[in-house]
Amino acid sequence: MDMTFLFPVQLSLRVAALATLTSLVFGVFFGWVFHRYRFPGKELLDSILSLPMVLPPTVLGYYLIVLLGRNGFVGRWLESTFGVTLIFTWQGAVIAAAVVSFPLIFKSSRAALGGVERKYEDAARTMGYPEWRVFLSVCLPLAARGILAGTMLAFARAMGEFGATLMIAGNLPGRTQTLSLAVYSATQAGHDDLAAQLVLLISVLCTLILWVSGRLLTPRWQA
Amino acid sequence: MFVISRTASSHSEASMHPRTAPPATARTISCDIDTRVTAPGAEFRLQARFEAPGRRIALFGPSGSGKSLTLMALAGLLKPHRGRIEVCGRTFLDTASGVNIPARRRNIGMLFQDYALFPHLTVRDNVSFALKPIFGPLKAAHRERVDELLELCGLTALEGRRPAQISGGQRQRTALARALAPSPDLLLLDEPFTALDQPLRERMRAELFDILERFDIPMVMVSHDLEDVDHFAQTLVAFGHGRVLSVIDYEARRKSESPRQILDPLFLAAQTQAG
Repeated sequence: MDMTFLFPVQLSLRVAALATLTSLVFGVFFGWVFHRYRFPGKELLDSILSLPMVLPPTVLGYYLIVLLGRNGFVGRWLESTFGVTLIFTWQGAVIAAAVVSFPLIFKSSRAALGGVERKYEDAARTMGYPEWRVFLSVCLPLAARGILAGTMLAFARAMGEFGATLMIAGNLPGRTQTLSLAVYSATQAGHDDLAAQLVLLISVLCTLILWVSGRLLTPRWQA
Repeated sequence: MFVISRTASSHSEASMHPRTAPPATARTISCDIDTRVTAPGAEFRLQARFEAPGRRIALFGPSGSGKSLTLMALAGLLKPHRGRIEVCGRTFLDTASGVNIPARRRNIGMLFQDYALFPHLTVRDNVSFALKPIFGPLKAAHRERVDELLELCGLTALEGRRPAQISGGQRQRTALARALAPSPDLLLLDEPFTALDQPLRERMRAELFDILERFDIPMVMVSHDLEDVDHFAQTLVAFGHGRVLSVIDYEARRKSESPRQILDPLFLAAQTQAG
């Protein structure tokens, strides 16, 4: 097996894993904030945070370039302070995939945490638990199943990310060419065999990952 | 046989706020709160004002009379808009001077109406919940205490099961052991028997009070059930329409009157008095 085949596969897995992890942290955090607090403009902010779910990925890519590009607000700061550029790097692809998959975890976390009955939190409070421990010991485990479902969807979404990745990280073989980009390039170039192999491999891999994580992470007490 | 000690709390803030043991004479709960609770489509005004001495206080009244909300306020799970709560010499709430001790620092044990056992934890982990340090296993002394409580409540054989795998009575005993584990200064019981059906209900009442007998803890129980109140109360605080109707020395009156003679007029008053 040559690198034209293996590289996109491992890059996609790496990008999707890191992106899912990132959106898991942010998604659960915002889900908790929305579950716990009331503030003006809450539902408007919910809509804005959920935008990546409905906007065309190219539009998100455009936003990200405006924000992270050399002339972008964040991009310029990153370059002048750390000497880091995200455009045309695989790290940029992680950000694109994270932004796109974030709402899936945020939405499911908010719903799952909202489904945890207050009496469980209250019980922990009367037993001396400060809020952060109530969250870690009670809310999180009780909401685990819903958050997990969202996380798996987010992973799938990150694996399949195309538009925003193309715009921010480009389609550089051996550097930023993820699997979905490689399939596209291979088809365009008439390498039908390569495309078929990539498609088959990724289908099997994704099925396996979803199946295994579903089995491993489903809380036993709910089974 | 069972040693009840005021075990040092495992929480770091305990050392910053040392609890002074109340003298036996200070076992009085005084409560004067005024608050509005809004539920979708309804607003409820609670004005509970009473001073109740005694070690076993029953908050009695029909449902919707405000007794459960008062219990929540005692526990610190509901913050009244205005008022003052003093329990056994400690001021828990004084809105005039901005005092509101959070629930986690009140050292109050609570037995919830449907127990609120953590469904993801085993019986043993539920009982040790309050004693669990942030990292690592329980301290040896705490593990011993949990062992004793499991034994006392007849749960030792079930310690590995989850709440969904045990009976209603066993769940109640688990909830009781869980509430007693951190050696609370006060135990609150919210309609402890409504989740059980008759025969079992009577047996559990005997069992529960038998266990509680061994602990020297003042208790407040919310109930609308004559039998519960009669088995339990020293002092009775009667509720109706979000107000306290009267405070009665139940134990004293019970010497000459039957439970119905004492409680029926209260029930009637709670139902007729409007607003």
